[in-house]
Amino acid sequence: MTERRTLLGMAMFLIAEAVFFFLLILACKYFAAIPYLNSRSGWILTILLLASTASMWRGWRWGTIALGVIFLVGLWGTLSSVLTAVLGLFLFAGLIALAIVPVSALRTMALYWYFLTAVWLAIFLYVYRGGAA
Amino acid sequence: MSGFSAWLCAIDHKRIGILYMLSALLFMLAGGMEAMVLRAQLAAPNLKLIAPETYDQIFTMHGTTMIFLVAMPVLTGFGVYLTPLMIGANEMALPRLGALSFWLQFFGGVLLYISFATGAAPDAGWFSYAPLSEKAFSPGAGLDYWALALLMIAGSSIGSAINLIVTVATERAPGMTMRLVPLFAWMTLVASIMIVFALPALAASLVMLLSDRLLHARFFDPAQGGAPLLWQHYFWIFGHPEVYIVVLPAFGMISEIIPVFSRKPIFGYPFVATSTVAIAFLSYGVWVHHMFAVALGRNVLAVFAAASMLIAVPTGMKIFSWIATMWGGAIRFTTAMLFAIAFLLEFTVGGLSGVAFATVPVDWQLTDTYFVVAHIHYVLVGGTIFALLAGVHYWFPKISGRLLDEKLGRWSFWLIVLGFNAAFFVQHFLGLLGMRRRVYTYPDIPWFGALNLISTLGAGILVFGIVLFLANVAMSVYFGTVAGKDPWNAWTLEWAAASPPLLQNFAETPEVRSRRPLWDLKHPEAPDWGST
Amino acid sequence: MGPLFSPHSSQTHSIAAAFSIVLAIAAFVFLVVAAGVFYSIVRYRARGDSASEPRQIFGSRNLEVLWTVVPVLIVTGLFIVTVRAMVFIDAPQDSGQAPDVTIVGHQWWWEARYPSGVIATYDIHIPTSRRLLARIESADVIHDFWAPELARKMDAVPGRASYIWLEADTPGAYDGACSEFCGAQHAWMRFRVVAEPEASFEVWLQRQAQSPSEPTGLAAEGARLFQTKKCSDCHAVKATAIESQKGPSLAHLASREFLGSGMSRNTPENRMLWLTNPQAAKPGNRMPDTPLSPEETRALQAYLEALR
Repeated sequence: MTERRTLLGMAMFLIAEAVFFFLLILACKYFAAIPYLNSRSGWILTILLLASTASMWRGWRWGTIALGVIFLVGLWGTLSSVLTAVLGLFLFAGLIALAIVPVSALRTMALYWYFLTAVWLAIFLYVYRGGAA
Repeated sequence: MSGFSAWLCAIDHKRIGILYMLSALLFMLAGGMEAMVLRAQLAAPNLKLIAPETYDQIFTMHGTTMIFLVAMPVLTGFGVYLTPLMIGANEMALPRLGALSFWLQFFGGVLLYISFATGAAPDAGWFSYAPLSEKAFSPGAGLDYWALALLMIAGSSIGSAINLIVTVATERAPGMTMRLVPLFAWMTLVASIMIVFALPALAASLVMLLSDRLLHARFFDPAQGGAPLLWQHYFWIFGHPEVYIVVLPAFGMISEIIPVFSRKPIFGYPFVATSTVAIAFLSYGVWVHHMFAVALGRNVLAVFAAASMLIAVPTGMKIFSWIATMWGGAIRFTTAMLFAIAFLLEFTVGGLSGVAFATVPVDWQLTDTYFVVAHIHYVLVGGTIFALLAGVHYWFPKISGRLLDEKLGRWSFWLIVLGFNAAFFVQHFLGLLGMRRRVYTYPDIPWFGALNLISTLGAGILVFGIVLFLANVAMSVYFGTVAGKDPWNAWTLEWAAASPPLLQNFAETPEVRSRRPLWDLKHPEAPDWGST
Repeated sequence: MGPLFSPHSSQTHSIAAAFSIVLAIAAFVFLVVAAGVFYSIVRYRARGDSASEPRQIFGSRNLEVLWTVVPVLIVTGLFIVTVRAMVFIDAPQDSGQAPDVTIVGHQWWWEARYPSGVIATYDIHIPTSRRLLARIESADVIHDFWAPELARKMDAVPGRASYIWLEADTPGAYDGACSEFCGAQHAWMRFRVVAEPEASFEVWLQRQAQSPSEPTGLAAEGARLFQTKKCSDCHAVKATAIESQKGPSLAHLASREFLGSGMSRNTPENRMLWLTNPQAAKPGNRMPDTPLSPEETRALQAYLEALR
């Protein structure tokens, strides 16, 4: 029962986040300067995040956190734009949450992880178009 | 845990609800004082009571405070307090999220007001159009405070909305299907869903503004490829649903109060409920009506004009339903009912002036004049606040265990009605005469001085009426007549709990078979579920 | 009554007519609602100590349909009125036609640029004989050009040009003001549209184009100071300056009626205030406070007076 509540709450939260990122991505695509992103760095980051998500899917909490931290460090080292800063902040909050929530909340956190991955893919593929070669 | 710390650490929905109400009261005093300063400065032409820059800060803070720190929080407070009681639950679904949301909102407000202390309050209006809001034209820190405070408040709002949605989805008493949910809870639910879709647009806008101001991004700077209009679109994509978000719960209150004091069920519940959903959907399709004076193209304007006119239909339908509820009833004129009846008339005026703005060429004369100021105050004060005053008079006995004084209530009612209409009805004329909004003073044009003076005096009377109302509340908390569970002979589940309710609202889960469970209990010979 | 009811152009007549229709609908709807409310509260007040409840009615499908369909019909009619007026009033935004006058909003003054090269501030002259295509621009933040008796409002958005028709059916001076909050002195960003017959409009245009005569005596000293004290960095003194300057043009200053975009009358005392304490003249404006000795102030005063 509690899980049903938190899952529904997370779903609502992700809807709000989806609206937020949708509008931000649209604005960045059309009105902001897109900083340069090296294609190789971009794909490495993507693989890291996907690995973190896979780990989440398998239920490995600390594996997810470790891969997430590496992704985050890589992100901050590689890119500086409004979009990635915001995504990074949400990911950071998620890492902290993942470290402290009880096991029963892991399924709910997984939803959050899938969502952030989708946002990263949207940013990387749509805004940066896979990065400059 | 007792006293202060009990309140600080509270997660019980009733405590959180009261905290929201008290916070809103505090900020309402600030917003009200700001309004009186504005009205004093405008009482006569060419006054120099305050500097223009100060005036700009005060009108910005007044609007921001009233919408984000008064209207939304107080309605959230009532929503959080009443929803579990109305649906037969003992708690909100996510209590700690509820507490977090409250404190986020409160500290957001504190952050906003700290800007005053540093002499740099925001001064670009409550919707801060770019590029005026950019660093180049607003170099002080005021707008940074504004944006950060609003980000906190937006987060808070989304949090409480999520809590309300999950609560209504998962905590309803057995037998209470969605079609049997009380209208206040229903409208609060719809408003909460709207918040989930609208507030993120505000958050995105604020992130972009802060990026422009602090990180040299260029979203809104035309010289570098940005677009000032982007801010307007994004803000109003939030801003228009926002005004329905602050009015739907008010509609919900009226939908509870008028039936009880007319002694009849709400007329046409399915239509009232459905029209609410229609309003929710339509409200996302009208935002450009705030931008009719921009050359966006005739077809674009026409589409949004059509949607803006259309949204009047489900809104008007409710007014007729409420009148039909009174019709054929046995009306009791408690103070709550007086405010509800006044609401019907005042909100109709506000809605009709809105239709004037939907008529694009009329908007091309009247937008950004005092006609708009009149419109917004008729819907937000004559609408939301009057409904809230009705709601306070109605639910105060449940929350405090005591009744408000009816005599004092009547006095405050008439003073508020007189003051409100004197303050704002003349503003329609000021707009028609060409007085623009957001001006710190005006020339001695015929009638401007006289009408502004009337408006200022009316505002003074309104304040006096509100003070009487607050005195009534303060007095009655300690000395009011003990109310008992069900002082109004009402029909929804909150009236089955104690007044005030115990920590666990209901000793046993109530049985629900219709929209008026207590009517069914009191009238076993003619229960609702037998006739509908 | 007010500007909405003193229209002086075909478009404002059209708007006034549309407003009358809106007003009639609004009055009708309000009367219906008020009648319903007042009848109910009089006829259906609780009588005596009635313990029994009135008949419990839950709704009526027919009434619901009625009060849905009728409002839909009303707004449909209103929408048709709206679109027809819009089509009538709207100027083409991308016709490629050269504008008859370009109006630029600045914080906190208006300038009007004519094809002949003349730039006017505050008083925007137009001929009454024809309809002008006016191009509305902004040099900084969003402003709004509003001459209520003559034309619809139009937002001046930086980076975008917008077009309106501007015309007056009778000669006269028509007040206008900025209608989008634009900062500290939004209240005093006023202007006037001065409509006159074609012939006198042409005369005005030619007079505006004339350069100021050579200043002599104290005024010549003032002219020199105007350069050395950097006034000329922001203010033009010839009405045909090509680039838009940072401050309002002072061409023909002495023959103007107002200073500060309508804030005060053009008197020696008020001009003196602008020279010695611009922030006192119009708080928040962008003119820096230039320290001047009394002799320098007198010389500049004389120079400004010579700008007829």
